[in-house]
Amino acid sequence: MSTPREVIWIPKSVVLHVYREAYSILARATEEMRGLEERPDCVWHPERFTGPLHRFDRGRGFLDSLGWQLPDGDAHVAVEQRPVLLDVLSAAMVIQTDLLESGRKDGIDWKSEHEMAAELAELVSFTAKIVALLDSL
Amino acid sequence: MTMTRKMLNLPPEAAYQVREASLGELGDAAADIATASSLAGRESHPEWFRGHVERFDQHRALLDAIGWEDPEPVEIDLAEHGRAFFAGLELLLETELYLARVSKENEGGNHQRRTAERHIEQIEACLASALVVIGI
Repeated sequence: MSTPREVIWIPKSVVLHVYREAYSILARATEEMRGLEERPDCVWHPERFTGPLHRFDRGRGFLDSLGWQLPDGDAHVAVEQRPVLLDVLSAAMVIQTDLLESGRKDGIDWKSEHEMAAELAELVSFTAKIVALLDSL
Repeated sequence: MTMTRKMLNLPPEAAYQVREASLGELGDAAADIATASSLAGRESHPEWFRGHVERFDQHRALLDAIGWEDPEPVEIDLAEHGRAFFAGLELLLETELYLARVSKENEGGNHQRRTAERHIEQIEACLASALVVIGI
């Protein structure tokens, strides 16, 4: 079992974003493989699967460490997964920024805008901590 | 627990059929994972993934065992890969039987029919050899 020193704690405020993006890694890699397999010459070009298989393993390894089930509270992931965690957080920040901007354009109410902005701030703050952790290692 | 090995020798043309079958199954399992990964609430339902990921792993392991590329004779252990082997070949056999039937009905489908019939012979021979190896 991992000791607290070997894991990165992910606060509840960003956990759902992390899970959504982790599953998106799996979705993209498997979609890519499905597309490759449908090509009639796929049996002659196995090298095309190398990239998506690697991306699938990366997403799966992350979920294996994180746990495939969304927890009620905080989550944690092995410290070795920090590069994937950083990728996941970066993607989540882009999506949250887009959501906030399109919400503003559509004239969402103040409360919703405030909540979305607060979620984005949590993501930015946590990502900064992970970047600092990466720099320190 | 030690598993008794059940080795099957595959000539290159049979290895090709098994490879094609397993790639098809790998693609199907990938499609099922992709679908589950894009459903709302996916984060709370790991059970949506288990069966698909297991099937994905079985076919990937079979491909690793026979080689993804080289059209060489190979030897595979059916005690380890039997499930993926039979599932893949049976699905491929169904596809080739369908192609043979459809091409019979099509004018000018002789070439396609002959190709499908040749594949059917290869797959059936491969399945028959495998049944002997596992003692059925």
